[in-house]
Amino acid sequence: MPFLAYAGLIVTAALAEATVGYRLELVGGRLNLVLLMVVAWSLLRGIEEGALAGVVGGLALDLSSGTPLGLDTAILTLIGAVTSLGEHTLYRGSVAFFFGTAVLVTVCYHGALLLALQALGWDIPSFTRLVQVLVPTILINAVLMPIVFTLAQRLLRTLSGWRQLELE
Amino acid sequence: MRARRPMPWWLAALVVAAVGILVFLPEPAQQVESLGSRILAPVQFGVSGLLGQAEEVSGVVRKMGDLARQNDQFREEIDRLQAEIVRLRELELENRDLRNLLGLKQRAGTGDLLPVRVIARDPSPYIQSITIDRGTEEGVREGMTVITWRGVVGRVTRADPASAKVLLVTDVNSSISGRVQSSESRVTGIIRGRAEGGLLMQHIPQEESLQTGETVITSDLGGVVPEGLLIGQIIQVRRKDVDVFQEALIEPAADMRRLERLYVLAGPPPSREAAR
Repeated sequence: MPFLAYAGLIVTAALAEATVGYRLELVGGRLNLVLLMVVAWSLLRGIEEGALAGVVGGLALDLSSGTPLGLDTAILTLIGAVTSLGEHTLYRGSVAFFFGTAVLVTVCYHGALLLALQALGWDIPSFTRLVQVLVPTILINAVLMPIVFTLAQRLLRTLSGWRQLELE
Repeated sequence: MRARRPMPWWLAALVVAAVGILVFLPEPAQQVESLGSRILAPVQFGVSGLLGQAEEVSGVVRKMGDLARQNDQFREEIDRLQAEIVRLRELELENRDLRNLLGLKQRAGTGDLLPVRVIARDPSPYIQSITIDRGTEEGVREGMTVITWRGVVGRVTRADPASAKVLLVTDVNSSISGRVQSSESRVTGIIRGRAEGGLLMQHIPQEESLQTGETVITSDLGGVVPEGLLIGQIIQVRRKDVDVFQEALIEPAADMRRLERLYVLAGPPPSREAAR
């Protein structure tokens, strides 16, 4: 039940990224809301649900993107699975942990996307352009990572509470 | 019934004295009158002024009521007229677009113009692509050219039943054949998108003379896009003696950030290889 509700939110976020996301560009950087939501769920729920959130988010992004179908799905599934390693760390709630995670997943996501595109025969932007996009995007994601995580945590608690009440 | 009181004797004497003075001594009577007038005049002036002002105030109050009613009516009228102006402006823009499209269509030749709307943009900052609201069910096919009346926007790269993906000409993966429209040079080149924005015309021989401000249109070389569609204007020419070719930076005619009233040039579909 919590995962289904969260999956719905991920799909909504993907739609928002495709329809209004480009209007919210900040100094060349763009918010990767779906990526942050997948990472937050992975940190909260572990490898299985993390990877599944990656599948849902990636598919939703693939459907609105001009890139080959399955590219975002593959990358986000991998990120969802790998970031679950942070589920049991003692530093999970700290600011430094969120900042580090945001930097790491943003670099990995953008790097993997460009490498995969190049491998598939697409022309990719220059390194200068990559830096122009990546640096502000990392900062935006780092600021929003703790917020997205906290909201996901609250949602999980609320929905889990409902589930327990239903069972009683 | 009350008995009527007789007039006091002193009052009668006063009246008789006054009449006597008026009849037999006119000079002092006039002086008294003049004095009285002199005293009364400012009072009368003041009272009359006050009354006049009071009348004016009441008039103003009445007028304010009328003005408020009129103001409401005028506001409603202004709102109605503004809405009408907006509607007429839209019609004017649409009319202008359609006239331009008619000219464009005459230049482009074959194919119908299918009006489409942008429903999404690529979430990735590295891909310049949009999603339009018509797909194969409406006759949209891969490789078809998408235009505004200003010029070329891109080409359909994926057509689904109800929507289609369009790769914008400004994407680094887009390449179309273009021609410089000038009286001196009709040189052709390959126009590609730039990651930094704008377009780059490549493979122009060194001996060709290019000027900034010259218009670039599509060329039918390669058969990917119809000939004669506006692409943009040259804003910079890059020429190095050591290079075989020169390059030109082009400002696209269509504003890719504000895309509205798009049309798919629904002609015969080019081959899949040509569309890439």
